[in-house]
Amino acid sequence: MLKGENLTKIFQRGRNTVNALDSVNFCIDRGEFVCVTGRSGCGKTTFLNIIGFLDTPTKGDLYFEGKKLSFSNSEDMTIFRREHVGFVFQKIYLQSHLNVLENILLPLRYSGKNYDEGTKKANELLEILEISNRADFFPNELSGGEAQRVAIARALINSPELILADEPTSELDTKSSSVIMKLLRDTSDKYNVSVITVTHDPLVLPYGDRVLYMEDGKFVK
Amino acid sequence: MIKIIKESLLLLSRRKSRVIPAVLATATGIFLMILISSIGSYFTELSFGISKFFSNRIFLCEKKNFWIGGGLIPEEKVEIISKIDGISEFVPMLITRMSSDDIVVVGIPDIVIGISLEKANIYADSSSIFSGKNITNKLEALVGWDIARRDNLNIGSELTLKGKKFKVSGIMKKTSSFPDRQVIVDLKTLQDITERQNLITCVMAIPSKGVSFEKISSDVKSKIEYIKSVDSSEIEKETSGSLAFWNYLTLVFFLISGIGSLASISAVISMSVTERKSEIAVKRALGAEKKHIFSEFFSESFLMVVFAWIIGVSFAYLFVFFAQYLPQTGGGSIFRISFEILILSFVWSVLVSVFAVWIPLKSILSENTSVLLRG
Ligand SMILES: Nc1ncnc2c1ncn2[C@@H]1O[C@H](COP(=O)(O)OP(=O)(O)OP(=O)(O)O)[C@@H](O)[C@H]1O
Ligand SMILES: [Mg+2]
Repeated sequence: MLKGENLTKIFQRGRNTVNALDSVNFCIDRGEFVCVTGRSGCGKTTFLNIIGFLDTPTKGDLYFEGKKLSFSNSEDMTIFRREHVGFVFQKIYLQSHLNVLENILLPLRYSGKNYDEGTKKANELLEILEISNRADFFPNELSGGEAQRVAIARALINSPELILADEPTSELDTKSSSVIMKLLRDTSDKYNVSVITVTHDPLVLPYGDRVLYMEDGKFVK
Repeated sequence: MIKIIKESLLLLSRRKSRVIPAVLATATGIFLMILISSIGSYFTELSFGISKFFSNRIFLCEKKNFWIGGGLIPEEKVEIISKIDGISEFVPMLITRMSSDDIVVVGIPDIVIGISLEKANIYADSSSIFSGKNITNKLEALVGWDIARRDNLNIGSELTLKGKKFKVSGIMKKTSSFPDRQVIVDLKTLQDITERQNLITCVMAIPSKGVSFEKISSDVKSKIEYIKSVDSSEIEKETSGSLAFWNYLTLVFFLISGIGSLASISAVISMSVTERKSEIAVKRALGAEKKHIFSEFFSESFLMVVFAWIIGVSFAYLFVFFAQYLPQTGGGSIFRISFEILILSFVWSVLVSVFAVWIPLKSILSENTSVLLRG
């Protein structure tokens, strides 16, 4: 479904150049669950940003369902991202002045999709993620695990084909981590969504169909 | 549109701990802008009022020292003045200061004018009288607008001038010029109580239709050597160019208020944008296009400015209301909140806020979203 060829990202910092991503080839199928792991600073976040259309590669191409994607226009990238990719962040990033339901519906505001249908879907997601009784809570009234479940619902609301999660459990305890990973895995299976999870936590790796190890901007066996 | 406003209102109310201080700070800027420009507006009004007052009359005074209570002219010389061609009406008058102690007032001093009962209607015709009527006997007084307000005078009130009691017969309309701070009484009575029997200060002359001020001036100059004519340009000279100075002041006050409010409003509004950088980053990641972010911020800041403007205007009116009771202002107030100021201050605040949102937002949005997310 998503294929990256020769993806390279070079950061220029004065005289320093950082090869954050070094000619990476990569492919993920629809519904597949991939874990990416590696040492800090090896380029995992950079990788997610590029395949999530948040950042442009220095070199290389990205294909979505066989079609080459263009990085030339940031607004086109935004629209592509909105329609096909859902993000789950390490820092969760809920909007503090929106309640749970409004946070989940936020992406719909920009995609212009039907709000009533969205609300129905949001309630369904709240049910699946077992936080229906938190719908009108504000983020500062939620536990870390609950907040991350809200973020997963928000990532799913636009029915993306791909979810990118950057260390979704690193700020949670072991128990909530496994709940979150189980929910990600279940929703991925239920909605046939591909998931790429970046993690440092060895306990997370078994949830993936496959694990990719990254070292100095490259995937290694 | 209404939906966006409603939504913004809800979001603003949820962020009230941030929004209220920002609105109050903006309101302070708007308050000061209105006050400062209302001083400018007062000077404009003064300058207009005085030009208008002098537009159809000329004063013929003693040459050396014509200013208030200055050089005196024997009454019999009026005969000669009245013979000058091109004057349709002439009104001999005696002018004195109302109080002997020299209170420094901004603008116009308080004066008493003596005019003979039969000529009083020429100086102040019925269209210039707000309530009551002109003086018809020796112990009546026609009072200017500011004096009536300051001393709380109504028709029938008693008024003591130079130790003599007068009854208020009428109150003049506001002119924003000399008459606002004048009391008109009978000429003979004023001459008696100031011990200036048979003396006058000047003759007010109204030129006949089609006769220019210049012609009368030059006739006066050639015929009566100790008299000179005083019109608005002369007043300007004698008060060290105060009309031009007032116009200049007006400009200065408007500039100060414009620039001051620009600085304060734009600082507050642009800060309320930059402090929400990470919120913008997340919204961008979730698929908000630039236009979405712009419209959210523009509608919120617009509402904030509307609230701030309402608060600023209300406080400015309150301030001006209480300021007129300060003894230092001598009854008049140097603040004029005109309709133009209200409109201009609103348009200016909105304009400033649009730029204060647009400039930082544009720079934030030009950054790569992934870089923004890293914080
Ligand atoms: N904007 C940037 N400018 C310069 N260098 C950058 C920038 N962003 C990232 N880097 C560098 O790129 C390398 C890869 O960063 P990245 O965030 O992808 O690592 P990571 O694998 O996600 O690390 P971690 O596990 O700590 O999150 C790092 O060495 C980092 O310093
Ligand atoms: Mg990272």
